[in-house]
Amino acid sequence: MSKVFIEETTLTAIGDAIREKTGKTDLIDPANMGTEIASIETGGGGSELPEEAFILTGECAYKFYGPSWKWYIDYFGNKVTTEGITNLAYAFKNNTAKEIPFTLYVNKPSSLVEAFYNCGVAKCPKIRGTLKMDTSLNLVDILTNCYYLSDLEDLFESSMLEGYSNIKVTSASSAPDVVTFTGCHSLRNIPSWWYNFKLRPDSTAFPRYSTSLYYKMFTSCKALTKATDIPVWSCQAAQTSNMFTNAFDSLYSSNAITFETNDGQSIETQWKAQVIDLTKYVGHVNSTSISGWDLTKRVTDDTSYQALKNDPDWWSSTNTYSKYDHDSAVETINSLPDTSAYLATAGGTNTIKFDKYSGYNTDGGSIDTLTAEEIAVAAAKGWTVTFG
Amino acid sequence: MKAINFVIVRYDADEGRVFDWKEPRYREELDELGKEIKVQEHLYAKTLFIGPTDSIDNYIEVEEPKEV
Repeated sequence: MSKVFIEETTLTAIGDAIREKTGKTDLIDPANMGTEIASIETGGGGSELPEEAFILTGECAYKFYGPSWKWYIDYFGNKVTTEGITNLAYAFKNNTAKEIPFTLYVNKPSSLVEAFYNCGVAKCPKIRGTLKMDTSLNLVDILTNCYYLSDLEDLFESSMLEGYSNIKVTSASSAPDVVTFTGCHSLRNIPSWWYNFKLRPDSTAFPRYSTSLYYKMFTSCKALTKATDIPVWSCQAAQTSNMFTNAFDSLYSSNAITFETNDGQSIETQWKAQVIDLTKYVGHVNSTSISGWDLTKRVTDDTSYQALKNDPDWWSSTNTYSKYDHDSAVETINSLPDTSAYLATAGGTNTIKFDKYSGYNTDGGSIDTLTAEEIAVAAAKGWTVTFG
Repeated sequence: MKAINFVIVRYDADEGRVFDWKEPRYREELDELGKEIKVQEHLYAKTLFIGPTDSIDNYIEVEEPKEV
């Protein structure tokens, strides 16, 4: 290696430049200058951003809306703290970050509408603090199309929703919302906090849009294993428009759909014109492959069914191997709310639709093996049973 | 075909036909422009099990729709 001469002022300038970037004050041995330069963080590591840039508080509507804000959450998420958020409307809508690593502390936010709509998070976000437990509680589409969230248990603490059943509502046009799970493709279980959306027996509280209480509630919850103890909601007046449109479509993995009961006794309610449609891919998939699902767990015939039926991840693309079978239908029927007393005076009908071949080749048996006695349980409660 | 057991009556639609509601039912939806429109809902069931709160008079038989 050859030797070179360099002016002292040049070396000093290099040393000064290094010290400016590293923040150190020591003299630097020229032999170590390369190492010092290599250790300098590129992008500054956020040191050029003021501390306020990492504190979220107050009005946060649209704060991280869209994919262009992914970088902030990925790069600085661990530096962020939150306090007293008063609005989370659309805050993370369409954001593609896989995780929101900071807890969202709210103080009676005016809205959480579409807060996580179509966002890319795979790990459950956390909301803590106080919600407005009154008729303005706005949770419309908060989780719609959260495709990658498999577990929502940590979204809320149950205590945050305990006051819901005490909300007094005096008109249909102003009522608190419930959380729906439309498009939550990966959700495996209904989180326990959701069951706080309950009514007192004498309450007039009901969710915001009386004609859409259960609308698309579980649509495309493809991985949901059970939709059980579904709260029986009702309007201040009798419910005479169908609330269940698309409510149970594409529940590919479900083997159980039931309503809440009072210790096994069906709840009386004033419903008519309700249509519970369980014919649209309940318990089986509508294609021979599905992104992210293990093809080795697909049941196609009796051999594969016998080999896989005790594996919780088995699935089928034919209704004859549907997870929702005769035994499932009996459970559903037995839990149906009792509308007979109301219909006896008001007239009208309620309907539950089954795919009669669902479960044909399973141990539980085909739905069309429902006995007259089993079907009569539904009829006695005011439900007409149909086979598609 | 008609069968009676307990308090339910079974009705099966003829070949190539299904049951629909006699009184049309509609739901409201938003079209591509966000305008509210009325969309007719159909029952399209092959078999009905009717109990004491319902009547076959509430239904009609129609041509079975072709699957799209």
